[in-house]
Amino acid sequence: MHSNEIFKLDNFEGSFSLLLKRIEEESIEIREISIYSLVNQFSKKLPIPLEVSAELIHGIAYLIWLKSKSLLPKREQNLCIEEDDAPTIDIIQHLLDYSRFKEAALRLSTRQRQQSAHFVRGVPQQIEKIRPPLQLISLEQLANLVQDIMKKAAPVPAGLINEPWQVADKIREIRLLLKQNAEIEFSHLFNSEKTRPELIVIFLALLELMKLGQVKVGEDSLTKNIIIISSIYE
Amino acid sequence: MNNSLNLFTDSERKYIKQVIEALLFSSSDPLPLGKIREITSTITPLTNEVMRELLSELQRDYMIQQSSFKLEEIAQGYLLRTHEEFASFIDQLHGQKRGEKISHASTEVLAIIAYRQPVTRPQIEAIRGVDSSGCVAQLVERNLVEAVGKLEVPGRPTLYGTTKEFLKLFGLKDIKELPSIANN
Repeated sequence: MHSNEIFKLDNFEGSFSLLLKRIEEESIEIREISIYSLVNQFSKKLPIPLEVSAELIHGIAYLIWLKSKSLLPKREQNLCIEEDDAPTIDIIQHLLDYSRFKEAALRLSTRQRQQSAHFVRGVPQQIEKIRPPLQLISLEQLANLVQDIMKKAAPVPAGLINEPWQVADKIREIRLLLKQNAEIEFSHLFNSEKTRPELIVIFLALLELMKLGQVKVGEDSLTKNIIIISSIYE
Repeated sequence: MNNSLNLFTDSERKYIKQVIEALLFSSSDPLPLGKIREITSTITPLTNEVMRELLSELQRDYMIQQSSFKLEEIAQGYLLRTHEEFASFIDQLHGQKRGEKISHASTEVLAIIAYRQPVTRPQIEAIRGVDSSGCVAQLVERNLVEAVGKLEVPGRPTLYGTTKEFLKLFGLKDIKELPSIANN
């Protein structure tokens, strides 16, 4: 962990990684640590950079997990009464295990940085991205989504003679967007800033492109956003 | 060491090395020994041993000539890569596009998979104590880890292992080259 945010407890003052180290060394008992106090101190420190706060949340969540593990009986419970100390030893072992991997991760990061200084012939090395197959949505789902947006559509400004939106124009627009970007977010095409007539025409254009098999609409498995991608080259 | 010296004339040897060099030059992906041999065998049959000798010679040649690149064994193949000292210049040429950094959490997951493969997501989470599905998905998307099978227990969770891309990115010849971490 790289964060240097200082936490204060009854018997401790220092960074989060130091706290974990103290637990490892057994100079602090995990039982003595007030998660409540840690979370409070954390929230008082906000706002802090995302990377740092993510690490701290992860660390506190890990402590909660460790603590709860120490309170619950192990599943393969030996009936020996001397096993009272076992949970504590478990925690230390677990922390040691985990810190070995954290160290390995740090070394991997460093190694990656060093290795990136070597170039191969041609295009600079980039981490290849494989797009997981899109979870295609049904026509009905798409229609429902569009309807939802249309309910919140911007009102047509009264008293202005608007140029009617053309499906062909919108088709061209979508095609151009897909040429410039790998994917289009649903909210980019359909949002409440557009008027109802415009949304309808965009929808018709999208349907036409779907019918022609030139685009696919689905849910990104990682971000859960609805996106539109080009399917011409498949 | 050079027991193949008697097999070729000087110019034959030079020619074969040139061909190997040309193949290496044309490839931005590590070339397996077998693949190079397949092609050079159209000139004259060569054993793996001789091939390795010639490749070592090429490697030495580049070092002696002080070329800006070196011949390395990465991801179970041979590859030409520039020396680190020229990185800043190449960066200037390509606008510093060195690829996205992997997130801190994902690097942890990657380390666990690299050292414990094949390993399941629940096993990863048992070490980290937190949900790791997002990290695993990210690593799969980056083609650094892949599903390598299923563990034969109830639920049949997917087993994950590192990919060739992983070896390439971290400059490893094979997974055994991973620096060892203190043993359990």
